[in-house]
Amino acid sequence: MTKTENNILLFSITLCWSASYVFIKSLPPELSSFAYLTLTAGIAAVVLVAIFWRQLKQITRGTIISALILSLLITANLLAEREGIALLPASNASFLAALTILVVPALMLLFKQKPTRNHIAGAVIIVLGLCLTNRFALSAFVNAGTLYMLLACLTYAVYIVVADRCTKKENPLLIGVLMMVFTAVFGFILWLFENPATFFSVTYTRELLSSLFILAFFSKAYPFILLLFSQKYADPMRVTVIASTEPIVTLGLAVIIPAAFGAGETLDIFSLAGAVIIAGGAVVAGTHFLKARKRAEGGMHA
Amino acid sequence: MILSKRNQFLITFAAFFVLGAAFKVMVLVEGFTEVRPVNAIPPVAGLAFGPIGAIACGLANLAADLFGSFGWSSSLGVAANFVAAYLPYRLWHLFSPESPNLRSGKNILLFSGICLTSALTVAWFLAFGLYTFFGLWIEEVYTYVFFNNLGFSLLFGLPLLIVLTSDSVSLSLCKPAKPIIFGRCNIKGPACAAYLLLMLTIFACVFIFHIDPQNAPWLHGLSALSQLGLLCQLI
Repeated sequence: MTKTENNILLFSITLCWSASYVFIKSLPPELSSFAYLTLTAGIAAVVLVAIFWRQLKQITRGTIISALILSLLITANLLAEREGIALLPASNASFLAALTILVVPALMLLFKQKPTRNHIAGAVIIVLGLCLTNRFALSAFVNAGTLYMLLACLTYAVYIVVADRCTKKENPLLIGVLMMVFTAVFGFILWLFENPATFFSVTYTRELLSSLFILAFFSKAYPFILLLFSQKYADPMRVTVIASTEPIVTLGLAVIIPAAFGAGETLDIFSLAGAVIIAGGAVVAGTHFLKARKRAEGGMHA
Repeated sequence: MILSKRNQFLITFAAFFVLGAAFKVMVLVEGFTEVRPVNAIPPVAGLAFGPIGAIACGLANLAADLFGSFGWSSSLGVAANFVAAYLPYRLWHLFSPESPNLRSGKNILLFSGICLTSALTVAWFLAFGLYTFFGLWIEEVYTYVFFNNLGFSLLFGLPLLIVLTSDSVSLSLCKPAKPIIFGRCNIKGPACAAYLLLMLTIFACVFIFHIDPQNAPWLHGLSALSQLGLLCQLI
């Protein structure tokens, strides 16, 4: 797979996650996060098992362990994020979630993978862009919500780094299918504790089923399989950098289909400048010119 | 990965049907169209499975219509979705000696061009088909069908084809069928360019200048020429 092909895959994942916001909003408020997790991951798991049942024969012990670890991480991420969003203003929550871009290079150091100068410069520029998108109006951080969001940020960063290592050794497709199965099981166990009636407590309307199918596909099956798939060919920083362009995609979608985003997103000078800076940061992080410059300087001194 | 023709049909049919039916609640024009990410499937199914994929798309669209917009106009949907899959298959093999893949910038450009031609064709086919056979002119049908087809085939069709043609999946793709008309006379370049120009003219007339065929009978002439162009490419 070429770098361009991989970037297209990663960008389509970002697009899916940005667009899934529209459908999450259409879910009834009484549907708990555990129910949402069980139903969407469950539908995704059934669909994926039905499509790839032949390949499931190739499952190894390593695939099961990888999928189990990744599904635990992603479940923890979703639950921490849920608590964080409930306790913090939306702008603070999204800012903290986006700090993954700084956590990933730090974690990479633990695994003795040194990020390049471009990676670090790009990450700093992207954080600056995120601050500008939020109009630097970030306050009320002294809150348990901040801890939850930082936990979410950390678990997602660990997920990216661990997935990078797992997909290089095991079949990403099989990890993805099993991960969905395990996530659905974890979600169901938590849902069972929250409400023993589980599936029978939900009123299934045509709209709800439709939204669940859409979310199962666009926020679970498609992006997670593709993410694992593209991680086989990309380093964790590239994955994080492309994911960090989510505010740009959300802004673009909000401008194209304002009604779907509650007409709350406006294209003002701050969000536009923030988007441009984030895009600039992504370009800086995705290239190697600082390395080349260092080499050139080294060459001149020699 | 090698799939039998039966599995090629079943996989395409199931994927199109589930995705098509799920989005039936997101109606754009009541009884006619909705938000359709499922439109990412026809170009990829066509390139991957050729006529089998195209037939599966057409029939799955009919089955999905049972969940919301089923009617006499569904017959047009069958034909339009068949064309949406079969035209990319024919165009790719007319212009590239390679098996469909997106490993080079040239191929990505070719795929994008094919998606544009296909989206323009399907929008024209449905909007003018509704007018010709059912006496209904709905400009929004043309607009929404065009943007649904182009947007989703690029946003999701592109990644889907990348995955299917990657080393890990390496799907065995349908062999090219020999073109009958363009195989005899070497005019495929100018003919396809003229067809695209024709489609773009219709797009400008409908989307930019809001001209409708009721008030501009000459649009029927353009539509008739388009039918001829489409046939040349499909046969």
